[in-house]
Amino acid sequence: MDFSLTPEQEFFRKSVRDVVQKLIAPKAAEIDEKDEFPWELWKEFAKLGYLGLRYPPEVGGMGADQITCAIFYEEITRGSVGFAQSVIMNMLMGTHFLYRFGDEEIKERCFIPAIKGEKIATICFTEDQSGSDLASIRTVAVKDGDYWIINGRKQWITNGPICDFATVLATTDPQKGLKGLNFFLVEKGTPGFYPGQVIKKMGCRGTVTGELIFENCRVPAKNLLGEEVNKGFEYLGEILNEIRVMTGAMALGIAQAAFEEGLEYARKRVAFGHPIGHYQLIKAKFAKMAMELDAARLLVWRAAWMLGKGLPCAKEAAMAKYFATEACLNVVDEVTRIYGANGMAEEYPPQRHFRDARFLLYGGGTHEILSDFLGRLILGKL
Amino acid sequence: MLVGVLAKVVPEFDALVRVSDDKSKVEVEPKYTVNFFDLLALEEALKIKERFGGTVKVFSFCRAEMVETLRSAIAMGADEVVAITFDGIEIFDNYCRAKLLAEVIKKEPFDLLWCGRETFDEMEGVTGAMIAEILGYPVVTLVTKVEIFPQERKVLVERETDRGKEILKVAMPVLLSAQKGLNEPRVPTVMGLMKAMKAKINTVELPVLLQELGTELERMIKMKPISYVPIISSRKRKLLKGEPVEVVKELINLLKTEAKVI
Amino acid sequence: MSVLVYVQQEGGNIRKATFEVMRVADCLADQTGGKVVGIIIGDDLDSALGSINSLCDVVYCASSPKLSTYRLDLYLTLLQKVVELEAPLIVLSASSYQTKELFGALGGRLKKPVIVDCFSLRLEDDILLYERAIYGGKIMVQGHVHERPYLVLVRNKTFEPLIQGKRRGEVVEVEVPSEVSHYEVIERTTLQGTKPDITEADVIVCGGRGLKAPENFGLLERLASALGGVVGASRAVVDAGWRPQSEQIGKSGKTVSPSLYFAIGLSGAIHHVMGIEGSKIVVAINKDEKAPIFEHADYGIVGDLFEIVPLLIEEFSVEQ
Repeated sequence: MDFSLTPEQEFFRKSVRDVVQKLIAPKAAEIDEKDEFPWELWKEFAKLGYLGLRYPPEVGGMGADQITCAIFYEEITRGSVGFAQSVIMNMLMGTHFLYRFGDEEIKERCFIPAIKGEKIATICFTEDQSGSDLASIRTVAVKDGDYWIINGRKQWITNGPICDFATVLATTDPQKGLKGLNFFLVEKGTPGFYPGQVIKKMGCRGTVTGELIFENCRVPAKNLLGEEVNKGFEYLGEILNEIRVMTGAMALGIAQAAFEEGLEYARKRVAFGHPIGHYQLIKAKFAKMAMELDAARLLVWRAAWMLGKGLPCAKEAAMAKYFATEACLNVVDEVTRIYGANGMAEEYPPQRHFRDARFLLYGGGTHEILSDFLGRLILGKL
Repeated sequence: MLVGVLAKVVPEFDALVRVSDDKSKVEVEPKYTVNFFDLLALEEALKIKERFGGTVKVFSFCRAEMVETLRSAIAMGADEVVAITFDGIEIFDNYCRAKLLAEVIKKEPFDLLWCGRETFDEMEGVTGAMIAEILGYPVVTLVTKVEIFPQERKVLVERETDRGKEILKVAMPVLLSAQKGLNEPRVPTVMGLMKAMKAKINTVELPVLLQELGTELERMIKMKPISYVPIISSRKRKLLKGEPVEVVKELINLLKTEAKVI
Repeated sequence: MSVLVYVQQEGGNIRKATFEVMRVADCLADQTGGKVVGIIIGDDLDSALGSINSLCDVVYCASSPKLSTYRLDLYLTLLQKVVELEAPLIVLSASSYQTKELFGALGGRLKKPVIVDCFSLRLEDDILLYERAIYGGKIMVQGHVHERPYLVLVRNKTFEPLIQGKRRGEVVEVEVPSEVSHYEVIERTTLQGTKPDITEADVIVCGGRGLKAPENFGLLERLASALGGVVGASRAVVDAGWRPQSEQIGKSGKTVSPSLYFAIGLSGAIHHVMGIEGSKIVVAINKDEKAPIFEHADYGIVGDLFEIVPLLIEEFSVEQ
């Protein structure tokens, strides 16, 4: 059992860290403050080719393994959470179903430009009244000859208001619940498809999150992303674990950034004649944080490894996301405590990590859902 | 064009360095990077390749455990990396390093050789000129601008001098050392990273090279470090506070009476 | 047995730090009962010879218009010739861009290492013990060399200069090399006269981003002028194009050791501070009390540089 990264993966990790620290991290505070999508940075970063990381070379990707991807998600999130969310949306959820089910034309027009960063992609599940309860969505798609007509409103969509195209989860029949779900491709400019209100968030700022409106929006039949109708929930299941592992990796990124800032602070900040890291209570905090961070990373990488090997890993992926999130929330909390009053100051990063980390509680599944899911898996049918 | 680049793997700028308890060696946190000035040299070599075509080969002399760091050179676009590797704790003086590197480089007919102005760890700035001399190449150090004329087999360089700068014309082959201001090293693309991850770094083991040279390590190293001492700077750290006029008067008084520098 | 000193000159003016090396040469010669031998290459060297002939027992002089500008190959040929003639124990010079290039090539030719930026040297029997700094100035290494000739570049502003000596100063003309140089000098810009370059200056007034605009460096120029010093620059303002690369102080710029160093409107990042550790006194002026520069300064003023610097200029101008 080899717990270490390969020399190639270590090299990749260090190189990505260097790139992120050079290009993205210096802008993180500004991105957070302005809460505007950083178009210049997006263009600069897109040129480096990372957006195609997880896709095979045949479609213009890099063919990276799951652990390498996890390393990337962690490092870019460590640089800036807001920016990372937009990037990863383009890399994974926003493009996956086009890669999987889109025809050549769709791939040419949407998929390839998205992984080059020339188009912004997104995926829409959530609605005002439907989050975890996907079966209850009210965005409806009705077949009309060679078209589908979509009506509904999606909310909390990352990249939504600025997207060039969206993968939209809609139901053909609300009565069928999960068995009526489908993914549809809707492109900007399609009549009846509008961006809606932008949500002002306390964290993950810089990425534009908001509403997408569908009013008698007509899309051609081939925009149904799927081999068969009503298999949407099944198709989602193909990448659900990967989404959870990715979210776990993002949690590691935020936690690691906060942890290292806390470490430097504890070494430099003096109280009662000593750096505060000298005192036992502070040492205890670091011991606990380091253990949790280490354990979280091992869980995330194990799940990534299993994903890569094609092994069923619903349990491991859910555990990784859950545990990494909890570890991250603890770390960002502790680090702001270690900073004392400075933990509140906008001048210092810990408060930003503290605000950013909250999204982990629902991204990739709420903890209540995951907890219930894991519990049922473990106890079985009773 | 065949362009060679000399690159050294050095500790990261913020890597912790400390003197061992017995003062006999320096313990360095194993965080490595390619020396800053050598990245400028590599970047320029890559630009030349993009302009005129050819091959860029990187040469380095380092401990076996530092070889992986040289992958960054491939990630940026270098075609090949050749590293002379050694185990053990010897410290090699500049002539020794120059001789060993020259021995490997001379096997090929380079049009141009690039190196960095100096390294972060040794802080010498002489090895480039030394290697050039051993190879019989002219050398221009501290290059801030370069123009290549492949037909004429000449280069036009601007370089910094002690009291200004000058523009020189020199025939190829020539060794040039890179000074800050020459360029901005590129950020590797992920394609470059993936290529680098899979690339093979050619290594030459030191004992093999020494045999070729017909010499032994003992005889080659002429500058021998005996002990190390940390340099701790102590400043007075006096903060002067008050109205500008008062504070200025106080400073001048201190500079005269206490510091005695004016 | 000789101690050979390469005397760097430009336009007939000897580089200031050379006189510090003369002090070292003088000690070593006395210790070994040997001679101080100088070598000077250039054109119109009468005045320069006048400054050094009391410091050397013999001075080799190669003077010709062909040599008026430094060219590595010609200068190296001459230096090597004198080394062969004198078979010195040690060849010394003051560290500079030129001597690093020249001595590097000399080391390649003589198959010897070069000790660069040495700040202490001692002869024990026939072994040379040296001390120099490594790892960005954080660590000092003490070592020894034992194959003659030792090639040593002495760190600037470490030793007291020796201006006047008691030696004979016998001048020996050296024949100018007949070959044409491989280096064709197209253009040369250089500081005029005896104005010190930044590594020679006794007073440096260095500015950073806090100056807010390139025009404001005029303030620092006036302060430097009032103190008889020169202006330096942080990496940030050089990268922004406000000041030339030659003024940059720090890890990728120059290392300086003036008697008095002003750090004005710069934060004091590690890569900058590395270049100023050798300064005798550091004065920092910054409006941010938490700027790291204050940790590396002897005297710090927390205040608005646009208020403080004019007052300093006034005071120092009055002094004059």
